[in-house]
Amino acid sequence: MKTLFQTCMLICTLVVLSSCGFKDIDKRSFVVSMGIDQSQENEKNYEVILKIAFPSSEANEQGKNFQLATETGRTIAEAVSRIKAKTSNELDFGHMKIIVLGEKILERDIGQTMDWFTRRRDIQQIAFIGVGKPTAREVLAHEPKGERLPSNELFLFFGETGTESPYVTTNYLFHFRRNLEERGIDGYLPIIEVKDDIFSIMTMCLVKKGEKPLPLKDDETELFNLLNRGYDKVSIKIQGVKQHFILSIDQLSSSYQILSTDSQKPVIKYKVNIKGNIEESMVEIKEEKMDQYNQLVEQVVKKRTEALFKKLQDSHYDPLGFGLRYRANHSGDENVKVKEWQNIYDQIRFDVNVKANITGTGVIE
Amino acid sequence: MSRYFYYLVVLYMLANVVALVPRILIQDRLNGTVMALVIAIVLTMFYFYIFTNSMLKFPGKGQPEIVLTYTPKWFAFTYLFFVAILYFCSAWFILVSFIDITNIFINPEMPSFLIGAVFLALVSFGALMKTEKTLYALEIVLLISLPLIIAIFFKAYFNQLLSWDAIKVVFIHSFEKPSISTIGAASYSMIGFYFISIYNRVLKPKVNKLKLIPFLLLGILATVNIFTSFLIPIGFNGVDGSENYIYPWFSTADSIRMEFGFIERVLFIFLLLYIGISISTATITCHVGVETLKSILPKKKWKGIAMVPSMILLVFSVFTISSPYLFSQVHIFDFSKFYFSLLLLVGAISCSVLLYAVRRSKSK
Repeated sequence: MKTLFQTCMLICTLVVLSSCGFKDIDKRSFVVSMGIDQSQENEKNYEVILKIAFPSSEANEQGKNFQLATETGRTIAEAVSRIKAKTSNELDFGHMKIIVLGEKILERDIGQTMDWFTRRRDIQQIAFIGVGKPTAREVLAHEPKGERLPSNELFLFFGETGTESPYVTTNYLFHFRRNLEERGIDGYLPIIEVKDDIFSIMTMCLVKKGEKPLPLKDDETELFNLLNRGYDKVSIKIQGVKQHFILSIDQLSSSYQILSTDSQKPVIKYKVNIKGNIEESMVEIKEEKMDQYNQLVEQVVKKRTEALFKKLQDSHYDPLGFGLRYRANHSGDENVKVKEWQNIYDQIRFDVNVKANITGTGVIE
Repeated sequence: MSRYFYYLVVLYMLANVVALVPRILIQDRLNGTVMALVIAIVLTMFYFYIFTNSMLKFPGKGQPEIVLTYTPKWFAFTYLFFVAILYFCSAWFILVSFIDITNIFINPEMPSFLIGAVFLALVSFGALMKTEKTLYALEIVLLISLPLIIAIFFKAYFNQLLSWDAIKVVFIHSFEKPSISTIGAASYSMIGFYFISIYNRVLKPKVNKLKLIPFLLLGILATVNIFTSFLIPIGFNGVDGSENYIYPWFSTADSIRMEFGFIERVLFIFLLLYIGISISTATITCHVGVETLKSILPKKKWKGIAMVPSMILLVFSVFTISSPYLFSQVHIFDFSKFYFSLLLLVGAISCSVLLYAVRRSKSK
């Protein structure tokens, strides 16, 4: 009786085996990066570009081993389903690590574009996201020399396992979506360009729902990344009347407080602490003048920071999340606070306080 | 106290992530959830103390024996039946959610009844095991998954992109009137101690009273745990953005990147760990449910094998496998809110019943 029962159970388990839903690896096309552009024929349509890598057993240089599949559609899902009809293998988005949005796409409702990415279960939330200038297609079609895998160069740029530069702004899909949804902080994206056959990621733009994106210049991008992430492998140019040197920053920390009482004008007290040493100097450096150099660094950084904040304020962008900090420190209904903050932000004053400490003059005096 | 008792308590602390608890808490995040958590912790720890200490007064005995001996028959029957149903509901929530999660994140091509059948076959066989053996299985699962889950929690807390400002916004709304279902949902993460009602038969502790220090440590652990499962999704998805997620924790796990971990996407490690946790939680809960229900049902035997437990599990399995087709996600969510609120009341009833039993046993 028991043997019969056990045999029956064993046969029953076969049911599970027969209808396994997995498709084999050689029947899958791995999408490594995805671009979204505006369709050339119809302004309302999306053009979706998928970079599909062909895996092969050889280890060296497979960077050119890819296919670009393109389709247009009213929605992203529509275009993707059309691409499915064009490829013989099952599309697999599980390895998609880069999303490139065309410049023109940013001018539309960004929330609508991002919806597909958050709703789909198989899109990884830690995918990097950026803007392709002038189009996403150009960025995806570019084949850098000596690339190990398709799109690997971009992974290295953003993943911080390769280069680490303050000009390269890294943003993840989940973080970008969070900043778009959150009231009191705005999203930002790096701008990826192809210049003279190499990638150039020097600038960024700020993105907000229902508003035109605001591009930042390269020095503003650098400063923003410095303040936002506490980036500390940076050299900044310090130019005074007599001195002109480059400060290599070892440590940078920033903190701020929002003071808004009824009696006085609201103010953001922003503190920056810089520690570093001199990397290159145009004029002779004198050890006893260290205090002067410190003061100069403080002045220069203060000026640059205030200029950046002013620009953000004038264009009503808030990528550092001052508004969210205000919400975090004041009680009351959230909708009311958000409205209040919009009024305050227009007239707020920035009080930037920089403390510099140059620890050395490099290897030589 | 035997270490197995702590395993049971810790198990439910982990399992709440699956059973819709974070979603309910996050929905109410701007309506005094912090207050709700504090109330839930205090209330449940109070129940915990009374229930466990009362059970410890009857060494080697389970709740069914105690209730059947010291209370009128009609009351004992209704009470035990009701409690057993609640146990099954708890297992049902975890299974239904995890079948759905498997369907969304692991294998969308597999029909959900098949996933359900695989899970329930495992759970049913587990639940039919001897009481001690379920504990051994639990120990193995916890020893493997607990360190990794704690590592993921730490990884989340020290993530640079975790928004502490968003978390602070939630704390600003601490002192508002919380809803009952939020308190209930928060208390769900600490109900592991109820399992002593059956496991008291095998735990055989040498002490007959819960010591104060381990009890307080469990309280602190519970507090840290429930705040983690509530706040981390908010920190990752934003105070406004976290609202729309159906399984906030799984989306959060997908937002954590472990560059030099086993695999870059934490989601898959997290899913793997939670398959183990959910299956063992469902197994333990079903086992307790079966043992409770068995005590009030006639002991029918067929060729020397007790048929009642298998029958109960068969009914439960068929119901669970068919529930994705019977109920929509919205129904399940509403029902879970009701269930969690009910837990608060049931805690009070259970404690009074046991206190009554203790008094009767002393007067005899």
